[in-house]
Amino acid sequence: MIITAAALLLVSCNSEPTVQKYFVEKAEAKDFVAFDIAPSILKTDKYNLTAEEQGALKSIHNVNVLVFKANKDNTATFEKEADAAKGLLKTDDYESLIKVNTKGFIASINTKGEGNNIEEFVVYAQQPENGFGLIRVSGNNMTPNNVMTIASIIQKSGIKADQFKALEQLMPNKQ
Amino acid sequence: MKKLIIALLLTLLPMLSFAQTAFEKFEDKTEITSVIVNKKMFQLMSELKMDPKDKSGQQYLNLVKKLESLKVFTTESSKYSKDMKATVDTYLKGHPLEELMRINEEGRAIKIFVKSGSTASQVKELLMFIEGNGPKDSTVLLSLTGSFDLNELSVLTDKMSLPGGSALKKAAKK
Repeated sequence: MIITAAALLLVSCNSEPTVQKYFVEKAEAKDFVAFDIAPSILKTDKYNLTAEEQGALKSIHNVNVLVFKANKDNTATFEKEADAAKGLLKTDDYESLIKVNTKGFIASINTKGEGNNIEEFVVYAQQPENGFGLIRVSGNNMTPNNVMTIASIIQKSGIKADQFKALEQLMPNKQ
Repeated sequence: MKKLIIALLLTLLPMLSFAQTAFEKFEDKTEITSVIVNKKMFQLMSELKMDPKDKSGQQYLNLVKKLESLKVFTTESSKYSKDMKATVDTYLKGHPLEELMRINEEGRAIKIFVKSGSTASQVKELLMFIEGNGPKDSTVLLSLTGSFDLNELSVLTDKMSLPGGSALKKAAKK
């Protein structure tokens, strides 16, 4: 009895779609752009990082980005994939921190982890004309302060890569 | 015995989550602007280091710790305005809240309801409904839960630009 229950549990775990699997599945798919950012690109002497900043960087292991680029011909796929991605955030045990929906721009921040020890952050952003994107940040013990520190390092470093343009397009227009 | 407990839990669970789902249908509508902040976010925010000299910042952190959820919905569509009003009415029937104040401001009726905690100024739930009329006058539904003091609300309206903030300030002074 217990064995069957355990087996069932295993099977159901394996077959369940997760955000992680979604990233792998869609990386090569049509209309999608995927790339990873290694935190090491920030770990250079160039930025004169303080001990606190270095510690914060150590807490993140990986940043994966997946962007769906919308165009005139893929509206149906856009809706289907956007619903799938949003659905995964609900079924895959993420805790929603904040969710915004204004005039078609939709964004949410979701986490996994116990208390202040966050193991994973997933940011979702959607723009009606440009598509949607997912940013998945995985790490160990990402405290709120560490996250704020990293955000300030990125600002300071002024990193500008072509890939970021795809992400920028998903942000609401600055007025 | 175990089965009984499980059965009980299963029947109770949907009731517990009812308060949270009452307004959920407004979350994904293009015509409705929504902002939803959950307990975890408030918990994490309260962990942020802030300059101890920044007094309003410290007050803000103190309040944030006590909050469980914030939901704000605004719409200019008359169809969803009506839907919101009806939903609020139904919600108030199932969850009797005390009317804290009623203001008429520039032709808009603002109503604020609360569920009091142990003392009169202690609040467990606050619901504000502003009924707008016309396309430029938006309807606002704001729900705040947690365990906080009414007097602390002005800190929140100062730090976040909430719709109907001036009405909330008046409620705090009451």
